[in-house]
Amino acid sequence: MDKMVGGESMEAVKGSGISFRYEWDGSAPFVLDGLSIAIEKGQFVAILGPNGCGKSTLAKHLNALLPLQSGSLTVAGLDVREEKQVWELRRLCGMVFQNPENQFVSSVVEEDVAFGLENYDTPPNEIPGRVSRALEQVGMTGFEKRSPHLLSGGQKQRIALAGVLAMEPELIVFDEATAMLDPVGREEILECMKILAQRGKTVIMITHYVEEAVEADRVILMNRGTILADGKPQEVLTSRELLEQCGLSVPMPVQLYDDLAKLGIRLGHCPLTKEELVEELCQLN
Amino acid sequence: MSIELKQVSCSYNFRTKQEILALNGISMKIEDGEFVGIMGHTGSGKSTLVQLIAGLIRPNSGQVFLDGKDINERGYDRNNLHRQVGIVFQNPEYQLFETTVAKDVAFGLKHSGLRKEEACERVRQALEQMGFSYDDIADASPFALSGGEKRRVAIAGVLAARPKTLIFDEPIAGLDPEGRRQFLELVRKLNREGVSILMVSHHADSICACAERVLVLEQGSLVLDGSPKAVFADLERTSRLHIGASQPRQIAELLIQSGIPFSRDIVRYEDLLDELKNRWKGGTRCE
Amino acid sequence: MNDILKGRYIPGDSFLHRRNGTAKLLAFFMILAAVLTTDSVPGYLLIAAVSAAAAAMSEMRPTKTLGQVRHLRLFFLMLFLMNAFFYEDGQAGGLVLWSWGIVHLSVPGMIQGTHVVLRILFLMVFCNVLIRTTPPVQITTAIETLIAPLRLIRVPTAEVAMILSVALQFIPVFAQEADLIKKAQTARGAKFESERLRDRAASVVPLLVPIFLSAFRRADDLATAMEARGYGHRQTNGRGRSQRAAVQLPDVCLFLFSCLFFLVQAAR
Repeated sequence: MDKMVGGESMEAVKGSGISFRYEWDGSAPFVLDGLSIAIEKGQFVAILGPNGCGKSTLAKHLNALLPLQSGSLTVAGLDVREEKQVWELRRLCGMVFQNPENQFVSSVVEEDVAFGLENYDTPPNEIPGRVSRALEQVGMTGFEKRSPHLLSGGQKQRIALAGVLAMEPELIVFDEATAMLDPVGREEILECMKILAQRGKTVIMITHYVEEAVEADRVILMNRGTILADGKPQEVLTSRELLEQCGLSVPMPVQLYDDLAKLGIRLGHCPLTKEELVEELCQLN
Repeated sequence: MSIELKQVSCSYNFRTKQEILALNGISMKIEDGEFVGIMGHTGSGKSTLVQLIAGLIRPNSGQVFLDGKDINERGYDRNNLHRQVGIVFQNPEYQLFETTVAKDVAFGLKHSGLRKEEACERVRQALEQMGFSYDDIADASPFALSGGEKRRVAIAGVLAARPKTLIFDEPIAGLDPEGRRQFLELVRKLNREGVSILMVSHHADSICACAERVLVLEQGSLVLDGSPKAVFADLERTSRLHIGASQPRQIAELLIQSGIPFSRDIVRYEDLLDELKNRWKGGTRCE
Repeated sequence: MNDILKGRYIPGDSFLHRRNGTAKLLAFFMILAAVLTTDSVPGYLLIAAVSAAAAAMSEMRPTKTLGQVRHLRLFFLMLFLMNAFFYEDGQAGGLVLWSWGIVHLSVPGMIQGTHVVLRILFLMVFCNVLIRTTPPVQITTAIETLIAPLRLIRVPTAEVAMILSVALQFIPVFAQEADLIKKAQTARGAKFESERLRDRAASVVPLLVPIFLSAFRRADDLATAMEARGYGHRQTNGRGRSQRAAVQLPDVCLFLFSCLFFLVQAAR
């Protein structure tokens, strides 16, 4: 499908000069303020920022749920302004939203997962196979006949993800998909993201949890509608100054690295995860 | 105020085929001024427990005593109960309904019998406690505020009644780090001023940072009750109970697993830093 | 509030569970017609037999088929008394036991009251059996099938069915949310359970405003999620076609039996 329209490009997302404000309030500040972004195919990217920084607004631009007011944006090789391609765009760019309660259209898991496929006129004999493959990918085989409303938060989000995966998208956007989950549920969804990234899908994680952003290949830090920093987690998430500027704090291992340094105890490298921290501490012995 | 539960059981769909036992014979006592964290897997009965204490549901058997009085006894003054025990649910911003912030915050004082000036003063103080300037926000519509501001207004609406016990049911979910920091600062301050705090949360780091006692529920039973250090001493047990552990505790455990003799008593960041300092003071890489 | 949750589909594998939703809905309508035309003791006995059969076919305990009747006992009592006391006199010159102004306690009135109560009771039984054995999706699919001819006069039948289906499965979510908001406002001093009507009336706004806002918020979220998954791509799509259960012989039999039942009752 993507061969038709510049599918050979290496970029899953390419946008420049994107500005946006909600029109019902003309005096409102720009939610997105001349933002430019490029994400390569197959990357696992975290878009990190505090509440109200515009990260979810950006996410909704990626599959044309919000109209592009200025600038340009291409996703999966398709121009988001091209109305004829909107549906193809939405197939190629799947989204999992924040509230797991509010994205189900059916009270039976398998029917919900098939929702997107039916919208795209998938031949009926293909649907069961694709539904069960999608459920398998998120580890929810056996839940076909259950009601999504009776599942745990993490399971609900996995069902929502299966509905997206059934359409075989190129990139998947998780729009604060872990924000309302308990630690177990968050772990489940993070695990799904990592597996998808390993299988070569482009994964975009929108979050305000620094600890989750650590898992990505690349972190884009957003504040007030613009990109404040963009780089590897080791570069962005170790900068106390940058993170505090937008009301976030460094991951605990980084904090500990700094505080130990103040006490005269210096670790070889600044660790991002608990495991890295322990490794560094062990070398002190 | 002291809270005491004696053999309290509670179930949904009582006496039907689909009966679900939410709480199973719970007995415990919470003294005046305590800061108690309540943890447990989803569906373990945490919400039922706090709603019983707030007098919002009745037990099928057993008694709930506030200051020695059975709150489910005929003739108990429930209005007084609601003024003494405040409860903030997850997403409290969804309960806003008035046309102005001041009216919404004053809602809980309607039946309190307070004089108008007194009620007004309480609204002002509650809003200021939540970091607002009364004059700037009193006449604004609650629906024109940002998500975080709405939540603070809703909490002010509970504070205005000046409850002696405050219950928070998953208050941290969805807050960003700055919001979380502000919130924890507020509850610590309220607790210092003598308000008992009961906080239901999945967030082990916040519980460890604030609570002096942690109750852990599993399938309607109280399975652990003790200091954060005691509750998180055995990480296999906490993981089985789906309550995880604070990051400092996890780091301590990883150090122990790597063969470094290290204390298991570490649940808070400050403890971890102290312990590391003592161990490696003037460490090998010290300049 | 959680009572609303009780009157809902209960998964199972009984004879009625396995039946085609459209057949069940049609049979339900026929039985409904039959019940409404019943007015004799043998007629009620036949209905009682059919409802016992329905309970057996759905593997429900007969008492369960009555559902929430207990909560409605006051309503039934009122219904009976209204008929007993206000039944138009003069009709067939029934025996009047007691009179006071326009109020007459008459035998025909009491009979009429009994009829009304019995009919509604039986309707509730069949309604319960239908709802407990048929998932909401099947009911909406059935409705969609039945209103399909309306497509000829340009009624967007698939959309109507979609709206119904989504609305149905949000009911438990709303019931829970309403319960929580009610508790939150009670904790702040609202008086939902006060004896005084004034207090109760005053507590409606703090309940309704948040519930409406929540409904809008959820509807908005859901619309976005549906759009993101391609809803609206092909407006003419039928929903769930691929998974619609085929009609089997027992389905047809179920419907034919219900027709027969109606004819028997109507011909009396």
